[in-house]
Amino acid sequence: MNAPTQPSCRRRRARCLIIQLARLGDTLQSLMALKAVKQLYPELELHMVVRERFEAAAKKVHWLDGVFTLPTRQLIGPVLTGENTIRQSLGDAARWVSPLVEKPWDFVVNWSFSSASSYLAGLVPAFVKLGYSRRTDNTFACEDGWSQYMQAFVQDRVDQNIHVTDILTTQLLTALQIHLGEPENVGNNTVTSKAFFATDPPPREVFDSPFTKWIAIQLGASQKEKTWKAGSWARTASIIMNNHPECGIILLGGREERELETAFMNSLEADFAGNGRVRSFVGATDFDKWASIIGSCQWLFSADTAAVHLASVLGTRVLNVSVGPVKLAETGPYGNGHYVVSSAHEDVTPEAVYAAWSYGSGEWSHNLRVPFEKHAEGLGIGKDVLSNARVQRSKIRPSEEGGGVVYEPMIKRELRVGEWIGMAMGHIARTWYCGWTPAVGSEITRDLVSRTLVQSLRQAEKQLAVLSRLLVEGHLMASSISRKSMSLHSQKIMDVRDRMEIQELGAKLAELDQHIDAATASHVVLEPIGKMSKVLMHNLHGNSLVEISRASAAAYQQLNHGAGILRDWIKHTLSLARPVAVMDANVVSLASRRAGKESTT
Amino acid sequence: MRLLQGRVVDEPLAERKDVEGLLVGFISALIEEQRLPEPLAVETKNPVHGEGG
Repeated sequence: MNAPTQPSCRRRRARCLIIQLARLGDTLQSLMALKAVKQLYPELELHMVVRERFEAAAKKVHWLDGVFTLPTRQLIGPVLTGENTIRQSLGDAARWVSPLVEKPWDFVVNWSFSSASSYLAGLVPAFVKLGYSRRTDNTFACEDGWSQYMQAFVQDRVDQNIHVTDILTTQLLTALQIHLGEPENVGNNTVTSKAFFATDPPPREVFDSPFTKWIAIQLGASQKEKTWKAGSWARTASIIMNNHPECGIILLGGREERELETAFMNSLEADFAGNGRVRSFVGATDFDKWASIIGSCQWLFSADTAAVHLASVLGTRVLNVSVGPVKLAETGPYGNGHYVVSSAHEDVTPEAVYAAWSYGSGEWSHNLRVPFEKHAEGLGIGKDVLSNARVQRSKIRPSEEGGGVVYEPMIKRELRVGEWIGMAMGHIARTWYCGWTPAVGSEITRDLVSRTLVQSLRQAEKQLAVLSRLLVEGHLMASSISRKSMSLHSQKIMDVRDRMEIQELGAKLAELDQHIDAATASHVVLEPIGKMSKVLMHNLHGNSLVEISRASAAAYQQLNHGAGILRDWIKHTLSLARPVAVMDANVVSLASRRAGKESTT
Repeated sequence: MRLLQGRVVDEPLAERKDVEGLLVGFISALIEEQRLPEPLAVETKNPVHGEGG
């Protein structure tokens, strides 16, 4: 046995391993979060584990101290083809893991939020662990607040409005602050940069005309339902090129997107097909070329793809056409001045996309003072075309307002219940994990509150009162178990009466949990509390009945705290919808109005 | 504070763990993820109050 290692976390030169086994978009978001961390803790040694397919991005940043590549195919390929059993493949897996486990890390941060990555995080020795891991008995562990939030809300598709990049950054920075102290540099250096990756400049033949403004269009998306039609992209490109002779289009995509490229070219107005204003690199870019092209374009147009995150880190403005099951607030383009166009019911129209882009690219002249709808009207795009469209602009909020990226609506629409839940859950998370409490409902104005929302919140208010009582009862009961078990001489040998009393309290608590489940399932607004309850109860931490019952009491308290914030949000929103008495000074009687009219005629 | 600081495990010794069990879990989960379009959800089991979702 080796001698126990002293926690070296108090050193600023701490070693941190980030595990990112998800896809390219997640890898890029992680890199953006890590760059922000590195700027604040420049001496922190950062190493990263990534999938082989996505290693290019991690290997192209100079401030990472090491990149470990997971050779997925090599490790599981022989098992998938039946050549090896899982046991026979363990040797290869152990050899791959060995450099990761030879020396304990100060921090292991698992940002993959997956089952496989939790086993890897469990294998790697560390002083502090963040994210999913495994306990010594190999059961799943998710014990820090932000990871519980990821599991209960983000992965369980609860509406919430904090961007994943902000969650990752805040999670790691808060832990570093606790273990290493305040950061040395508190400057406001920007994270995004054209030089984020050490890539070669784009080939000269791509950008041979210095007077052309290039717009890259990323065809395709990770899922079919998130893909915007190639014909719609072509129509958008045609409108732009017809109205803006200074603009050219660069098509991007993987080899599997060649069909979309053909469909695009077939739908493009004939004048533009062979005149050099449309250039295609579909299936012809590796990571370096892809990044250097996007970094050199004025805009990237894309549906929900990793290209959105790549453009974000490179500081290229994004126009994101958001279709299909996308949670914009979590994974939209990051930074200032990106635009997102989606539609409430029907497909997004090329005209709405053009209106959003032309508004965004003209910001320098109107400085956002011209309402978006007026701008669209000036282009001949009427309200009927925009009736279902949602156009949002990204903005980094000042830290005194909570920080992070937010998406401001350019066309005011009444709040959907899901959007309202997203705002309330974001508030609850900030209160739980940031210790910073924004004003309740400061993002909501009276004109956003619809009758449907009011009806839904009135129903939720009644159910919430029941839920709060149950959570208070749970806290009291778990505290009773804790007090009772503290009074025992031994946890294992006890009086029969004591044992029966504890068992009885345990049974009542289990029954109470069922009532809590039923109460949270009774209304969509309360469902997030139920999901968080499951995650918290799974992750109770303790080695004895006293510790576990104490942790259980704390979990009920946390849930009730969240329920209290939810109650404040409901009250605030309903108060906005209430009719307001008009001040006497503002009242003009009909008689005096008539008299006024008569005197002017 | 406990929720924010991460899990302080101070586990310098790999031999304290069931390394083989963790490796088997790792490979099995990688295979499952390869077969599924979305990453695997992790299990949620409540050690005190019974089964969760």
